[in-house]
Amino acid sequence: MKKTIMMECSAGKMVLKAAVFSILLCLMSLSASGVSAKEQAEVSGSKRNVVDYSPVQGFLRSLKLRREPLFEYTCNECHRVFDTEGSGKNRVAEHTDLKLNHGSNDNCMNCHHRENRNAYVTNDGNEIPSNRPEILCSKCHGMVYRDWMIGIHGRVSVSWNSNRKGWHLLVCTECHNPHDPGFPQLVPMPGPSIPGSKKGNGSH
Amino acid sequence: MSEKSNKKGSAKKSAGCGKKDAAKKEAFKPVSRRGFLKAGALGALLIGGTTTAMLPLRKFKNDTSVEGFFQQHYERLTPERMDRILERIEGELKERHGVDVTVKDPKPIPGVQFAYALNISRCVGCRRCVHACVEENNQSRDPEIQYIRVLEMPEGTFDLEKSDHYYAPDKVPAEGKYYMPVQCQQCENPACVKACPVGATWKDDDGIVVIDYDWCIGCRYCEAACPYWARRFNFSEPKIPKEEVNPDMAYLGNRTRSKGTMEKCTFCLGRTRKGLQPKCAEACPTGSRQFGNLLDPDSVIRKILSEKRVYVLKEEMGTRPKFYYWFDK
Repeated sequence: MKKTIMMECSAGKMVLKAAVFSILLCLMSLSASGVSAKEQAEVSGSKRNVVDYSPVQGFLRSLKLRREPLFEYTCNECHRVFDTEGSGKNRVAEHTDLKLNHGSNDNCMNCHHRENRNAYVTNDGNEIPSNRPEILCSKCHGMVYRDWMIGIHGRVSVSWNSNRKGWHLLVCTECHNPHDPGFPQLVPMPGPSIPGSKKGNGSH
Repeated sequence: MSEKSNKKGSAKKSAGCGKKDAAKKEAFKPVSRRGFLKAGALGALLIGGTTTAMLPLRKFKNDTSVEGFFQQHYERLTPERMDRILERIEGELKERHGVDVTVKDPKPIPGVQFAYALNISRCVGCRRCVHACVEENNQSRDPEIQYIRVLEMPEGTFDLEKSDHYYAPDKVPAEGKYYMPVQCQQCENPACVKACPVGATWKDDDGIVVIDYDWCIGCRYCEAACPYWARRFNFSEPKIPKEEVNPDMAYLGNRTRSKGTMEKCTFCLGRTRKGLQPKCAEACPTGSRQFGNLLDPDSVIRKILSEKRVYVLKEEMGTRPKFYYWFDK
């Protein structure tokens, strides 16, 4: 199971992400893959069924990419008034639906900034802007962060060419749920039919 | 002695005179009923036998056109001739599948050597690559042909003898297992190419080992020579449901094969030579599969080769695969 850490997404970041995503969508529509390809096929009237295997957009609906801001407000609008300790274990009134399943990282304040809830926190207490979750994640997942920086972590799409124009790296939170970053186990697709069975006599 | 010779001479004489008569007699000899029936039966048998023996040819006529029969080897085709062939094949495939197909012949991009890298620490064995490949490459659904074989291996060993590719747990990855997909390794020194007696398979300029399906004689030597079991043979006419046919075809790539030909993974050359990712890489939900240009220092392949622990399958075979397995846990 893969792991990457992320943070709560604040509204400001979400707006930015929506913009980034529109660019990505344009890119994807150029490629013959993904959901956009399916839409394309439908538009062009082709009967061909294009299947998207992405865990983010396909069969794991729970991990749907957040394309629009979750909230109409920023975190600070509440947290300016209610300055909670946020130990992560005694969520009584708010965020009760939030299930934190992130290994030994079980405290809100490991990631969220204590004073400015719109930002994430570095190890020495400084702020990380909310649109840079990868910096936060790299606090613990340095190896993965390095792989991600050189482009060998995560799913691939569009082109293999390294000088692709407008190529966009998805940030951590676009695939992983920061509070529950692992992916669930998958149901495997059917294997090869066993030789001697009705369908199996042509496969070798 | 003299008598004998005399006799001989007279006999010769008489024979000489009698020849004409005999020939005349023979020519005008009336045909007996028995003889007529015999000859008739023999003739009927001959005609019937020949017709029966030639029956397969009538089927053959449906399979191959005259131009198809006399088609030259791929590397000896001029561009104009190739255009005509592609047009003919499009027509044939349209008739065969009832779908509008386009067959193109994408050429290798100069300065590109394709290579593949697969992260076995991330692969979960979900087989999505296998089925995406089947759809993309128009592989036969019945009999079943799949280019990618995902091996389920017990943790702690690289012994392929302990692998299982029929695994079917409810959920993957299963406890204590890891997964290693195997497909054509696009070797730098391919054993299959050396084994081909007719030159129907060769390594193209971008490193992809391709097959001219029309030149293949179906001897299966290449299948025996390949140490990775990467080649598949069409024992019978491949069957693909009409609605599942991928109409974007490439001559050396995913155009539908026919009975008696060999086929294999071509790194989706119809896609990759246009700059797209191979279908298996795109389908992978975990991002284990990475693809790129070995000659480009900025490509992901070069990054993986320089940063990660990489191995190739059956290195001792001397085939020098361009399919690298790596792990980072």
